[in-house]
Amino acid sequence: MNPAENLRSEAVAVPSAAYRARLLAMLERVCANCRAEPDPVATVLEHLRRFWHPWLRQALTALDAQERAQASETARQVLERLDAG
Amino acid sequence: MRLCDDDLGTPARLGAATVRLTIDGRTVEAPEGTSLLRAAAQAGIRIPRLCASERLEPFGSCRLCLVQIEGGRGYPASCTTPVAEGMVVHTHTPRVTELRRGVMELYLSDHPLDCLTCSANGDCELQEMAALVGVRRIRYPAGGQKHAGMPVDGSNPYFAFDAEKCIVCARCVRACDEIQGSFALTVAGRGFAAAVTAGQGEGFLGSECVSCGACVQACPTAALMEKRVIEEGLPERAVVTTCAYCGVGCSFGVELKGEVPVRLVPDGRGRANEGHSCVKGRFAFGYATHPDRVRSPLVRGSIDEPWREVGWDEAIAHVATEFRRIQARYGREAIGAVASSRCTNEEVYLVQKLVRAAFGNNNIDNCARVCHSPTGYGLKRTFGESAGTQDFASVDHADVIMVIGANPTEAHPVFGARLKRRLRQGARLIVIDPRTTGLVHGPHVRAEYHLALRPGTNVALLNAMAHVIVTEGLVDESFVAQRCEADSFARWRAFIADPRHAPEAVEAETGVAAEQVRAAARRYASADNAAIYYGLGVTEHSQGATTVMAIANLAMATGNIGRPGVGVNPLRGQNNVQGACDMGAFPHELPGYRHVSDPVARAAFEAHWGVTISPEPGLRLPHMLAEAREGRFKGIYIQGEDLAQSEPDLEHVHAALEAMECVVVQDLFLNETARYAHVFLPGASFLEKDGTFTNAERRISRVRRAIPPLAGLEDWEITQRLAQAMGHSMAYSHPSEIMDEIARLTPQFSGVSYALLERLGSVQWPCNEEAPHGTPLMHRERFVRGEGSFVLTEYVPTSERPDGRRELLLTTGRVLAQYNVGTQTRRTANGVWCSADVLEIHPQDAEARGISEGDEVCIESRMGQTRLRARVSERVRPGMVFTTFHFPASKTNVLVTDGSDWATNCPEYKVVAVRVERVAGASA
Ligand code: SF4
Ligand code: SF4
Ligand code: SF4
Ligand code: FES
Repeated sequence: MNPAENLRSEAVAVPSAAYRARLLAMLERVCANCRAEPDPVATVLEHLRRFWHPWLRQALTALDAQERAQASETARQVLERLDAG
Repeated sequence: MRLCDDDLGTPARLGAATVRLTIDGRTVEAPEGTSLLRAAAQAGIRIPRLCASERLEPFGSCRLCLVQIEGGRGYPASCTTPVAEGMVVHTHTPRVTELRRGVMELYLSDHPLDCLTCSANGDCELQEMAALVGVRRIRYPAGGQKHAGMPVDGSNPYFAFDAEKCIVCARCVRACDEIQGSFALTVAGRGFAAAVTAGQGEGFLGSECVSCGACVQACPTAALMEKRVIEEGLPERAVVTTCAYCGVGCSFGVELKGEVPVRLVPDGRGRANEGHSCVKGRFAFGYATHPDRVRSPLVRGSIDEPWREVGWDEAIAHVATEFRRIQARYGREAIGAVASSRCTNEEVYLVQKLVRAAFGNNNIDNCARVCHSPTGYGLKRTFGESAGTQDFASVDHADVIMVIGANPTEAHPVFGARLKRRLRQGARLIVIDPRTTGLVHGPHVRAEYHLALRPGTNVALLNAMAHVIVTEGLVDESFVAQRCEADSFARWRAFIADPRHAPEAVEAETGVAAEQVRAAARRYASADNAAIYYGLGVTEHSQGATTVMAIANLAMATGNIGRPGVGVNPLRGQNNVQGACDMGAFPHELPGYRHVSDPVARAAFEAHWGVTISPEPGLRLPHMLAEAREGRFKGIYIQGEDLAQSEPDLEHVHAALEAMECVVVQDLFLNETARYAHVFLPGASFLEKDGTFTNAERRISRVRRAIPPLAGLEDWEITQRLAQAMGHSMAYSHPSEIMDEIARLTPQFSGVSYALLERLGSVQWPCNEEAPHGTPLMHRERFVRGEGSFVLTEYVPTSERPDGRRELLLTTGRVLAQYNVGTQTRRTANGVWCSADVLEIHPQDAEARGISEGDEVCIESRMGQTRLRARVSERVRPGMVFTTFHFPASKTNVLVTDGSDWATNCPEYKVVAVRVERVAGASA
């Protein structure tokens, strides 16, 4: 089986609200530390791709509208790009 | 002679010119500046000596080494006389022999003649020299003995000082001064009444002595002797191996009587330590044979049940069945492993292979996650390689040394001693640390600048230094132009020149006077050779990786890379944390720091292992724990890490471990994590295994088995059996075969083999076709990534700040005598120096809270609380408190928050906002 497909099929549980909040805080820290980069959104996305397990990235896409409303502009753009795959 | 000794009498001299002379009729060549004593020894001519030793500057006090030089006057001491062109020397004329006998008679006249019952019988230079000189009688009358009847100082738990046997050669005093730099010993009194004294006469334990053992090593008689040797007699055989404590990686001879280790003697040929040691490596090895060691595997159905002793086959089969069951039910990603940075390279390699090949995922991590993962990230991005740039010897060439967030005299003592020696030779010191460490004010050592910043503001301070360098024209423009990326440098220069980074602009944030920052920056940038050494005070922050990159930026901007005396040098904590990272025990990297998404790297391993490797990064350790609480991660194999004590936010860690269905702990002792384990696999100590460790200078050194594994298997054998039980074939018969595989698949290691290590003693990676004898200094002509890359290091303040309730900032560190969570050192006599963690608090803060020395205090963070005894001390700045984490009862890590480095999730151990209160009715 393609390992990437396997990862997706296994990740079924919905992350808890507390965990989602923690991951959003982590994402915000990455965004803050990349804000001086020429293209912060691309830099953050690349960081998530290289270092975050797919489960974590998937958990971010599970953030609801209310949670996203609290996110910074950069984080919101990152979330949109993650939603789009 | 020590079993591992090979002393040529005086230090080597590296004079440019070679001198030719004649000794006892033989033509001898030696570098200019070499002593006659050494030149003769190198030619196989033995001159008697007592006060000289290869590791000490010549002193010329015993007069036993005198020789005759044709055309010269008198009989000079060969240890203090340098070779000269055309010199003709006689070492054994009748007159010389007569004079030596006279000297020896004087020594023996004030020495007990009980050689047969002396603990040093057969290991005594005095005895040996008396025989060599041929003394047959002592002409001096009995009763003139000045040292007879003096009491033995047995205050040190590991060695005794018997003044009666002391010949006052001062080797111990010089070893303490020159090698260790503690200046704990003196020779008090004169002439025959002279005697060695520790401190002001309070004995070794009460003096400034740090129990490094250098004096014991230097002593030619039984005056300073290990208590174990006194009790058990001299060892019979020796095995050379590598210390299993810190990242200095000292080489030792394990000296044994049968299967019993009697003493560990630092190896003079070991290139990391050059014959020196610290109290842990030299003496604190008793844990390896401690009765608490578990000697057979244990299994239980649930963590409430008692353990059941089982055989290896049953234990391994049980783990394999459980892991397979979990994967069948919850998916392939539901299990993972933590490799131990105390285990060998070969053992760590096998654990990551087990995970990638048998578990089928990348869920592998190691303790670097909680210490130096930001180093790997930061140095890879800037220089292209996740490792320090220099060898330890490089510090001998540094003119300015900047120590950031490190306390090498406590945490890396043998390197700390070398660094202090360089400072005594005149190098300037800048210390960036919130605490006044031993380097700031030590014996004969003083920091020129101590930038005592507020914890958590490293990036702001380093940016301010960079701002000074850029705006005051201190950039090494030609280095930058030749060696670094033009565009990233231009961006960085514009970024850092912004006035918001000026020392004056960040003074209130860092708490360091702008003028101090400016002066320190000028000192660093204008040195011929400036070196940076840093530790966990850099990495264990919310901006750990950014700080590492800020350090790399500074070094590149000032051209301090690529030659001796400069560089960026992380001081690694655990003995093999560098190796554990090199071996691919990271969820995103294969061995040799190649990303799992790299198809070429993956293909090499896939072809060799016959499996498919996931291109996606695995779970980091904190995420394994978080996912366990989320119900998705269900099983873990933990090799030699005590997560339940060493991780931050311990309540969360305990809940995560409890939530798993199969926790497997492989360790020497039933540690805190074993409380949550379903299976316990007893591991082997460093004395019981073959393999290699890689130290902080990338030096790969052999670990050699001195005694058989107490529980029957070395750790690599346990992992191999588990892989086999899970259906992945592994069939190594010796760790050397594992190293051969590592070399085949990892470009930085392609030239490494056990045969090479036997030949060279040790080797620093990269070791490959381009560098068949290894690479002491990296990035000499070009950076590993080609051109050095400057990274923009935006200062992002930590969210962990004092508030109305928690007004103080807690930071954590180590003490010399204890090691990490204390699993090893607590099972030794090191407790006499440190038997509990205490809270250091500044006198102002103590007074404001009614706290006195020794009071019990309650420390509360937003995560939890614990109690410690207070130590009122000006070593910490006002507004800050400090403690260690060596004792489980202290529960220090209960306080540490879930904050972590943004890039690597290395926990923010160094900054915790706390409230400190005296516990009512609990004064000292
Ligand atoms: S204790 Fe040993 S090394 Fe020190 S002066 Fe006495 S004999 Fe020499
Ligand atoms: S053990 Fe080390 S510190 Fe102590 S007196 Fe001897 S040389 Fe000095
Ligand atoms: S400095 Fe480190 S490696 Fe060397 S003896 Fe001490 S603990 Fe062991
Ligand atoms: S060894 Fe030369 S004077 Fe002692």
